[in-house]
This record gives sequence, C-alpha cells and structure tokens, in this order.
Amino acid sequence: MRILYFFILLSFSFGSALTAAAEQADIFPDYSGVTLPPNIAPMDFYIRNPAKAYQVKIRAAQGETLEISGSKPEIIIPETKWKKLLEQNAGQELYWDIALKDESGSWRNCETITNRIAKEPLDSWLAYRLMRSIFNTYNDMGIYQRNLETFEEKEILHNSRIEGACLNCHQFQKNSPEQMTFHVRLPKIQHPIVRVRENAPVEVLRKTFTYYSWNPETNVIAYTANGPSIFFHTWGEGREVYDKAGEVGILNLDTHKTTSQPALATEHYYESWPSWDNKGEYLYFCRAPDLPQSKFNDIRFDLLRARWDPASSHFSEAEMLFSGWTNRVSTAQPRVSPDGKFLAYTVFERGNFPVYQPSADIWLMDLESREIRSMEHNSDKADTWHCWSSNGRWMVFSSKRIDGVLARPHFAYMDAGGHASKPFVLPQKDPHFYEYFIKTYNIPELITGTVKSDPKELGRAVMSREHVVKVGTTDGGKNVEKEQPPEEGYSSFKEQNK
Amino acid sequence: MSQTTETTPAEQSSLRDFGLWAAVSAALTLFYLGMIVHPEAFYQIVRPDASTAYFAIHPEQNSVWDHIRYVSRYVISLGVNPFSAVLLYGLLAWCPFALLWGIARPRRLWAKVLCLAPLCLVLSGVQACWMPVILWTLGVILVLGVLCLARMLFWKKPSPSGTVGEIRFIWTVPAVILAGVMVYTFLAGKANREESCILSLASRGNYVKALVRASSLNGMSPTLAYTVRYSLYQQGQLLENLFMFPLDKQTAVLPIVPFVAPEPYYKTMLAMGFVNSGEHFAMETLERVGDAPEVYYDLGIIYTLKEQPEIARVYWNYLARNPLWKKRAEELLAASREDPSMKEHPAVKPYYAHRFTENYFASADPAEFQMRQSLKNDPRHQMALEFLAAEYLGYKNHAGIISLLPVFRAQNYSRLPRHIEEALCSARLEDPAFSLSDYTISPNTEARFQHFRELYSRNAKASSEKIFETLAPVYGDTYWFYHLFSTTGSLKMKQEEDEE
Repeated sequence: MRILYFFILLSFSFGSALTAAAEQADIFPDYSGVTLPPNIAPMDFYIRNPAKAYQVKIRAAQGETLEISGSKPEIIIPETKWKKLLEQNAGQELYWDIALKDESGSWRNCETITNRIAKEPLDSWLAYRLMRSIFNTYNDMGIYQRNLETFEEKEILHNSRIEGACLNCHQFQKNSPEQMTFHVRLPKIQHPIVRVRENAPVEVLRKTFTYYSWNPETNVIAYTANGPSIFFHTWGEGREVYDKAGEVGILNLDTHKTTSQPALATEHYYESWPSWDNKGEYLYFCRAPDLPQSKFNDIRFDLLRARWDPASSHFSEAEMLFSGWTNRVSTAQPRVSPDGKFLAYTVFERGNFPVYQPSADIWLMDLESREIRSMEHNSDKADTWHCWSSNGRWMVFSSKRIDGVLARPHFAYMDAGGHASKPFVLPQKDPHFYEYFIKTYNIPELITGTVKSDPKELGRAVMSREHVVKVGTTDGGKNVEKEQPPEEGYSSFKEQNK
Repeated sequence: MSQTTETTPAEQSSLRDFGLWAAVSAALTLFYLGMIVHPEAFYQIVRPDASTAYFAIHPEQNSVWDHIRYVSRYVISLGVNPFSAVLLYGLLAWCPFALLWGIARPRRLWAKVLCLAPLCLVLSGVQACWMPVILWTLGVILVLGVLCLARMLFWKKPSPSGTVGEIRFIWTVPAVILAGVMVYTFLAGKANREESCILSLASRGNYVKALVRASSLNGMSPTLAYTVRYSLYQQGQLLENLFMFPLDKQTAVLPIVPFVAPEPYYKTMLAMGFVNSGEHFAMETLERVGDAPEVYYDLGIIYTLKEQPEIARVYWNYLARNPLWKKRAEELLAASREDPSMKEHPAVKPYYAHRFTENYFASADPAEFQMRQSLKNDPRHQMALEFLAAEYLGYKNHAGIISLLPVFRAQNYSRLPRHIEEALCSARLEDPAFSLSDYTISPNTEARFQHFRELYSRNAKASSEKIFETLAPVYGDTYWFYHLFSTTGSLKMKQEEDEE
C-alpha cells in the first residue's frame, strides 16, 4: 500500500513537473493567443524550436482535427479543412498542439496554443499599396487587393501602366469595392484623382488633394491639399515629412464642383487628415499652427470635428476633441467606427506624418464619454493607417513591429467595449514570407468584395483624354481654397531620367 | 462535293506541324518579350549577376511569364561580362529560330517571317539596352531593312531537292541580323556602351580597368564622373590623378545632385559614416536600377549599423534567394543571429569606426559640410580627408587645402599627394608664408611648376587656344592647368596599368 501511495505521489509530482517545464513553441508569424476571423485564410507558420521532426494538431470542439507533421518546421495548413474547422467553431476556442521530436527519437509536447475564433467575419478583401521603402524616387509601386479567405492577390493598378507615376491614397465608400478613388501624381495629366466604379466609366478628375475622405452616405469628398515634402535626418529614422498649408475643401462627385469651407479655414493654422464619421454628419480632422519647416520639432496637430450641413454644403465651426499641443503629441488619421461609438486616431511625437515615427500608436476615443486611451495592440514601432471593418469588429492597421522598417498589415478583433485583441499579421502561404519580403504594405483598406476593374483597362483609362473630367467651383472660382503647393522631394524614376 | 473538302494526309500533317510551330513560336515570343524595355534589362546587361535576384513574390511576378523570364535571366547571368551576356542573349534567340524553322510547315512566306520573331525581339532587346532612346527609330528602320533582306533571300529559288534555300535561309538571315546588330551597336551606341562598360567594371571592383577606359573619354556624364572619382579613391589615386579626367565645377568631387550617381554616392556616404545617407541613396539605387544584389548586401550592413538587425536580415534573406549570392548572404545571416551588432564581423567592423550617430536635420547639407563632419567625427578617416581635399581642389580652395595639412600629418602620410603639392605651389604665389606642417614639396613638383610657369610666360601673348594646346599635352593632368582653364587636358592613363 505504501509502495502504491509512493508511486501515485511520484506520478503526480512528475506530472506536475512536466507541466511546469512544458516548452513554449516559438512560432513565426506569432499566431498565439490571437482572435481570428471565422473566414481567414490558413495561418501557415513555422516552428523555430530546433527539432528533428514536427507535429501539429489543430483542434476545436467541433469537427475534424487537422494533423500536420514532417521533418520540416514549416506548417502548411490544408485550406479546405481549415475553412471547415473555422466555420464549425465560430465563437469557440481553437487549440494548436505542437510536438517536437528530438535527436533521440522521443517526442515532447509544447504548451498548447489557444486561439479564439470570433463569430463575426472579417471583410473578405484587403486593398493596399505595395512599394519598396522609398525615399525620393519611386519606380515600382502598385495598388493590390488580396482575398483574406484565400491567398489570392490581384493587381488593381501597377504604376508601370501609367508611366511610372505615383499612386496613392486609395479609398472606398463604406468598405464597398463598388466605388474607389485614388490619386495619380503625374504632371502630364495634372495629378488627377481617379474614380473607379462598377458598370460605369472611369472618371479622371482634374483635382489634386493630399488627404481626403468619402462621405459614407453621399458622393461627397472632403479633402485637404497640403503639399507634403520629405526631409532627412542623419541618425535614427532618416525620413520625415513636412506638410505645407492646407485647407478643408469639399468635392461633389456628382456635380464635379468644389466648395471651399471658410468656417474651417483659420488664419495661421492649417488642416489635414479629414475623415467623415459613420453617418456623414461630422467631419473629423487635424489642425496645427502654420509653422515653417525649420520648426518641425514644434509642430503638433490637434484633433477637431465640425458638423456638416448637406443643404448648404458647409460646415459649422469646429470643436476641439484632443489638443496635441497641450499633450505634447501630434495626431493624425482619425477614423470613426461604423457604429459611431469610437474614434481611432494616430498619436505620435510631432508633425503630420506618423508613418516614419516609431512613436506612432493608435489611440481610441469613446465618443460618448470622451475617454481616451492607447489601444492594446500597439507596439514600440510605428502602428498607423488603421481601418475598421464594415461590421466594426475588426481593425486592420500597418505595423512595423516585425522589422522596424517595412509595414505589414495586422488585424485585431475589437470587442463591443472597443478593446482590441492581440493582433496577427496577414497570413501568407509561405511562413517565411515576411522574413524576405522587401516591400512595404501601405494603407491597408478592408473591402467587402473584390474591385472588378481590369488593371490594363484602368491604366489606359487613366492616361486617356476621354475620361478626363474638369472640376469647377460652386462660386465661380471667387472663393476657392488656396492653390495646392506642389509636392516636393518625390519624383518618379522616369521623371528624373527626363 | 464531300470529296473536295477533305484534306489529304500530307495537308493534315502540314497543319499539325504548323499548329505546333505556332504554339512554340508564341511561347518563345513571350520568353523574349520580358527582356525588353525595363530598367532592369539595362542593369542586367551591365551587371549580369543581378539578373537572378528578381524573384517571384507578387502576382505579376509570380506568373508563368516571370518564371520564364527567370530562366532567361539565369542563363544570361552566366555571362562573365556584359559582352558575353549579350552573346548568350543572342544565342538564346538563335536557337528557337532554328527550332522554329525546323518544325514550321508549310513554310509559307508569312510563316517564315514569323520565324524571325525571336531574332527581331533580341535585336529590340539589345537596342533597348544599348542604344539611346532617340536612336530607337533608326533601330526600327534597321530591323525593317534586315527583314527586307531576309525576304529577298527567302525568295531565292530553291534547288530541286528543296533544301538549299532552307539552309541558306537558316544560316544567312541570322548572320546578317547579328552582323547588323553588331555594326549598329558599334556605330550608334559607342558612347553609351563605353559608359555602361566603365560603370560595369567599377561596380564589380575592376577600378583600374574602369579608369583606363575612362581616361580615353573626352567628356563624362555626372554619373560617370563620380564613378571615376570613387574608383580613383579605391585605387589610392584620387589626389594623384584626379585631373587626368574631365573635371569642371559642375561636376565637383561629390555630386551636387547625388541622384545622378546614387550607387557610388551611397557607398561613399556609408564609408564616411553617414549611415542614413547610405540608406537613402542605396534605396534610390534600387529604384533606379531595380534589383541589385550588392545593394541588398550593403543595406544589410547599413541596418546593422543603424542597430536594426531584424530588417538587415530581411534584406539578406532576400539576397540569399539569389543563387549567386546565397553563400555570402547565409554567412552574414548566421553572423547576425549570433551577434546582432556584428561589431567584429569583417564586413561591418570597418564602418563602426566612422559611424556618425548624431541626429540633425540634413536636407540641404553641402557635401563639403558632410565631409568635414565626418573628419571631425574621426580625424583618422582617410576617405573623408581625401574627398574633402579633392573637393577643395575642385573648387580651387587654397585655404581649405592648407587647413588640411596637419590632418595629412596626423594620418601619417609620408609625403603629400601630387595634386596637393601642385595646389600648394599655386597657393604659395598668393601667400608664401603658410606652414607646410613639416612637409616639403618634392623637387620634381617644384621643377615642373617652374617649367609650367615658363611655358605659360613664353606663350603669354598667344591666344588662349594656343596656350591650351601648348600646355595640355604636358600639364593637362595637373592642378595648375585646371586652375588656369577650369578644365582638364586630355591625357591618357597609361595602358600598362591595365595589366596590374
């Protein structure tokens, strides 16, 4: 009896010792402890722990357990089975059991990774711009779209189709792929904004902005024209952007007329980053004193909003939401959640352009209580360009957390209280992808379907005179905003060669 | 009626052959189209080893089309120099031509003309790489001319056996086309080709050969001028033979507009210790020339110096996908994982000594300021000293040169470089009292200076052209000549240096 008791005790203590010493699996990309959408593509990863062979079991309460094993650390999850498992277990936990075989041939289990499958799906496509880490010259850049349920990636437009021009600031109305706009920076065609619609001709609008936002309910765009210029530092992050004067203007895409907004045009200040709320009733924007470039260290943007009157096409006076100057930080990229409860915006050290500032984090404001806080998913590298999903339960943002220089799209689940789960990077078929991919993902925008335009035809349309639409003003040009200062510092490879 | 529509077995066979030929022809046409009209194509010719770095990552690159391109790039990368790369390129076109001809039946006129497609494409590709854009029209005319010639040969009546005409066609037309390409490239693209060759030689570290070739040029583009100066420095010749090459104020030692020569500029900035400028212009180089393995190699070093080993490894991982650079990249990756700072690694260690870690706003700093900063940061920095001295020579800044004499002494130069001595001779005419920091001007330089002055005085009343013609053959490579005419005389670098 004593011997039996001894063995029972021994087995308990051995078991608990085993539990305590369970090895943590080091996987890349880090897909542990995350909340995933029920419709995400297989989250392929590789195991960094050295071993002779690897075995992974992916299981949940319902459905078939997925088993992947082999001598290679890369875990490639079968697409169809993964999809089925996620569908069957929406709202429940998903367990990843990882076992490693050592040189002696014995297997050891790693601590089980527990993820959660959300009930709410993620919008099925993501549009983004891809380019190298550019400074002044750009040559190879394009806007792409990726199916988040598979690994399919399609070109929307590559700049080789439009004489190497700069393509930027693609936007959609309420996450819909049916209408999109983007900028083309090409002097030959006067830096237009291009409007792409399903079943309608492309419009090449002869109007240049810097930052803009679609009203979710009407074909009205709010914009600022700032004239950004790039300058450099000798140590640390080398790039910084300075924006010159900018004022809020309105472009009606149906009438092709712009309207200046005197109520928002404050003397000695300039405006930037306009963004409509979920109902198109308020415009959120950032504003800073108009300081020269030499004072770049003192430029702090406040966050404001103004009510929109669609009848008169004008804004009321702006109200301050967050003072950058008082808090010694700057703000940018405000975006209201689809339910109108939260405002997510970027907070960073100084200036107008957070992308090049490692201090950039996404903050959240409860629009009812006006409480603000830094979001849970921030890192010590730049976290910027956030976008809400159409159901408000997901946020995608560009984060440089993996290597510090190249931005990668990260997704986080947002609960009803506006709290974010641990984010995960966009899954790729090759788990090593982010370790050798030298392009940066810029402006990730969630869309509910695919943009159906053909890149070749779109390229032709952008360059063709047939699609040009002249943009007028509502007051015959008497009360227009100041001329947009030219963009400085950037040029295409082809322009330079000329 | 039905009998009249039936095809004979011979006709069926011909149609089958024709179908096969058309399919192969289409595939091969795609094979070559990818080679044309892209900055990478040029870069590929100049630097064949770069060609395999272009990898399938994106949809437009991940297509079958790009895999085909990859094969051709890999084959071309086997060329040890631009010339052999171009020959390989030509061979790649000729083989499918012969293959097409072999399987093409019936050999109707238009079918035969289509057989020439790969050759036309290779001609077009070579033209795109080697010719200035403005000569494109001439190139098209030439292609049309060659095609007319081919057509004439085509209609040569075949022998009764039907083979003579075919053989003649197969061998003659490509020969004529290739001869046309050679003549055309030789005549029309000489300057361009010469510049490409010099850039290619310099980028692969063949500085002596690059300098010998460059010394025979009468003028240089800013890109080439800066590449030459960088090569001179690499050979320890910057302050000895700077004036052997065309130089004027517009092309001062460091380019006023670095975009004209981003590659040597970033290397210089990196060597000077300005890692951020190194990063900036390494990126500019990538945008200008496309994938460039040595730039990825250097970017890894730059980010290591910037204390960002994670991104350094991304660039080296990308480089490791190039079969020709895999070994070097993997060695760096292993070293980086072991010690992310890589302070003791031979590829990185030399840069730590000069690394500039002070942050200031640097949009419009003149090159001279940067070099002075670099020298202040590390007074033993030879490159900073020599480039700064060369910059002062270029701007005829005697006070600046005199101010550097103690630095030459501190860096243990046993004697002053030739051009510095020459500049000091000139400076002494303005102010005989300055200190030489224990240096002496060599008797040879003193004697030459006296002779230069005598020669100048003797011809003082002659026209400036006459004085130029008299002095250039003897003193065209001296500071005195440059000081007088603000340009250099064309003296050729000795050919024997080529053999060193």
